[in-house]
Amino acid sequence: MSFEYGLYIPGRGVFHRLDPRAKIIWALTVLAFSIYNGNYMMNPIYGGIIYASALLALISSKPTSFWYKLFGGLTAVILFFSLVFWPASAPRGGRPILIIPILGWKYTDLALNLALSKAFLVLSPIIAIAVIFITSRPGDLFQALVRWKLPYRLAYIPILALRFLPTVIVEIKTITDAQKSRALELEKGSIPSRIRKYIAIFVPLMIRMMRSALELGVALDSKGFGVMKTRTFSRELRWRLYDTFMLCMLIAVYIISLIMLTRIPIWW
Amino acid sequence: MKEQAIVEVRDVSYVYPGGVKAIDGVSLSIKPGEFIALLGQNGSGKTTLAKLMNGLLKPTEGTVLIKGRDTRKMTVAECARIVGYVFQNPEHQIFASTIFEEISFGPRNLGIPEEDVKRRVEESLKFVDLKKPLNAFPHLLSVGEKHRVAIASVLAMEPEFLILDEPTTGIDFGRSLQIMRLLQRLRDRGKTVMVITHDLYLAAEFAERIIILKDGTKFADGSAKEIISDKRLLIDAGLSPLQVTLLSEDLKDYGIPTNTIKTMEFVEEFLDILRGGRGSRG
Amino acid sequence: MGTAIRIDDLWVRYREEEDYAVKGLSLRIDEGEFVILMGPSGCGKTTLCYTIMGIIPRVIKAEVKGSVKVFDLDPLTASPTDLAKYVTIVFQNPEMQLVTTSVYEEVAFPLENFGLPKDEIERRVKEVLEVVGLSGLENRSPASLSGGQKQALAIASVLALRPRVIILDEPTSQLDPQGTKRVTDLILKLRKEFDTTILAVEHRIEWAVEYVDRIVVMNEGRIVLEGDPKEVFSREIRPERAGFRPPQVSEIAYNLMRSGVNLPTIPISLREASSILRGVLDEGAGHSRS
Repeated sequence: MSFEYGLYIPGRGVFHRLDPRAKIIWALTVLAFSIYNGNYMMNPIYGGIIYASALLALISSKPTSFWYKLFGGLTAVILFFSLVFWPASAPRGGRPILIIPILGWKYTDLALNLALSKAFLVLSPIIAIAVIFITSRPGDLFQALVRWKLPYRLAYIPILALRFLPTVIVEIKTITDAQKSRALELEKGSIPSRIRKYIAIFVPLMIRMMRSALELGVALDSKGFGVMKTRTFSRELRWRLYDTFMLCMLIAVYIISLIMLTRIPIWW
Repeated sequence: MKEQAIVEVRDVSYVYPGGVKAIDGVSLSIKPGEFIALLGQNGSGKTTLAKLMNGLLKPTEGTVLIKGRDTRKMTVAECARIVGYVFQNPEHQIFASTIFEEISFGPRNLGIPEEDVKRRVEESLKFVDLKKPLNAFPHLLSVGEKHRVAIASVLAMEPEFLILDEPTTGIDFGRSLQIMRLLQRLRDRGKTVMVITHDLYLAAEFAERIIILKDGTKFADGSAKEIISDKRLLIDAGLSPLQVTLLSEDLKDYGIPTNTIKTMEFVEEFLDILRGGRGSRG
Repeated sequence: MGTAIRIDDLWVRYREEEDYAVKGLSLRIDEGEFVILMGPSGCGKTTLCYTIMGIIPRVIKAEVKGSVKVFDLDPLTASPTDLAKYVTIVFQNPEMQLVTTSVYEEVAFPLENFGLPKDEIERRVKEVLEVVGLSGLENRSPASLSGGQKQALAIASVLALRPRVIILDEPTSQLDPQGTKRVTDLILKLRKEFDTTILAVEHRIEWAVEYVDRIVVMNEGRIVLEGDPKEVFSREIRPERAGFRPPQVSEIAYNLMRSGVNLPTIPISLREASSILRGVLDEGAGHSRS
């Protein structure tokens, strides 16, 4: 994946066409509902619905295999750790689903609900936030933040991070190549010695980044950044009916499923 | 007596993970003691080829042999014993807190015993003519000094073949000359040198062999004289002929050989003709 | 023609340094002139450019003594908004001066920062992309452009401000021959079509020697040589000290003169060299015949 636009991947998906402000609001609702479910309701089906909606949003944005691999791996890791560790804090009672004889562990249904809900609590917002970045140009995100009254000098910092992501990746690769050409072998040796070897990568990287930060500061200044109190946005964001519609629809799905699920007892 | 090539590239192609084919069916052979300039537009595959030659990249097709051994069967570190690679920007390498640490990094990674390391560090510093104390902080050196530290740190590994990636780009001409002269001294000591450069003037003055890449293929490979004096070829490769070549062509009626590529060559030919040595006019 | 840049007895010292980077420098550039600034690394060329822009001391802290005037403005005190209409700068590294993720945004960026109205911005972006030869690439990411295109984009973004003076700090040093040609052609075009005053810091001179009005050579913070190309190259330039090499034809001429050949003048272009040397050879042939 080239990261040439930061994390943005150009496309014409449903989420690409949304105003970034709508996407940010959506991600916040995903976060809110996920927290509510993960800490109070602990209904894995509800959590699953929210997770599915975020996943669908991601898939509709046609991301590269990098993202699939990333989230596939992340889901697996978080699910695993949730299923193993959360049951320890599960409420008493509940029907046992799984009994491990040797250790005498009882895996109850309440424990399972808890573990899954916690997993979804973490995963759903992360995917939603990723969708924001994948489907929005950094310039538009910048404008969204500024339209929401964030001071533009502050709001541009994450945009610069996105802009320079590909640069930093290339720098790391170049530095690693240069040191490997001096016979640095990162895969060999004990763990402590390997960590020490990374100094040969870390130090040049930090120095390059500091130097680049200075150059960047000079460049931004020469382009008049920060000179005036407000700035024009040439390609203005326009909130459309489409944005209101999509946002309402998504939130409606979350609310309706919430209502339906709290009336119907968990099937098992 | 057949001399074994230091590096042999046999019908090599390389495709980057993203699908870009950077090198397409290139074959060449580097003999010991050669001074080569590798030219080509950005994106023509020069850096990729260089990285294939030092084992950083392994070919997706074909074979790269370093002194007869397949790079696929070697680690980058093993290749580094024979092929040294100096990157364009010394800041991509310099990490240590003293010059000594910095230059000894390479040899130590190769497992060279400590007494030898010290000798190598001192020798390479002397060779690059850097008169700073061993415990100086490398990050505070001037740009030119950093370049020399970078070269010294690769020289300390005592490779037989040294590749330098654009050592003359982005630095002033006086310094570029210094570096080229340093490389010439290296070559006089029996090392093989390959410089990736855009500077045709320097290539003409210092290199004996020119390889030009275009779109990942070998566009030209021959003696500097042959290639740099070939106007058509240079223009096809996106390069501009040197003034000295154009001038000698202009004056060919007077007997100046049209394949002149060096300033002093031209001067000598001219003086020769002027003193009545030759001259087809009259 | 008015004076575009006037520098009188300028001294600049960086905070962390003891020695002055620019020492008592005086320079005058008239409107419409094309001046090339040359010298070895560390001679103060970049410091000088930054001071004209006001980047020193605004962004980079340094002690500045003496006077700098850009038209009637003092970069040390004028507001960047006012200054931007008169003078802009393009830097050496294409990578670090492109700050957005699309070609369109990059050109629009300075205009947006200065609060120009939307339609004005759109118009200027279109115009300027045409001039630099990047029309149609509005949605491309700067990262996907070649080095020459990146610098062309950097030039476009400052050009959109319609400055009277453009300073270019080693614009081609990181580029390959094709990229260099693209940028140098563009500079010459700006000169010819828009009469922009241009101050370029360069290591290579052959491409400009027939078009440049004046060459200013610096060394250790001072101007050591100044004049039109004929004047500057009339005496031998040694690359090791000067930091640049003269046109090869001039270099050939120096060597011929050192060997006793009498040349009426040192040529700076191929044409000139050809005709001068023919003349010498014809004369010489005449002598050896007689």
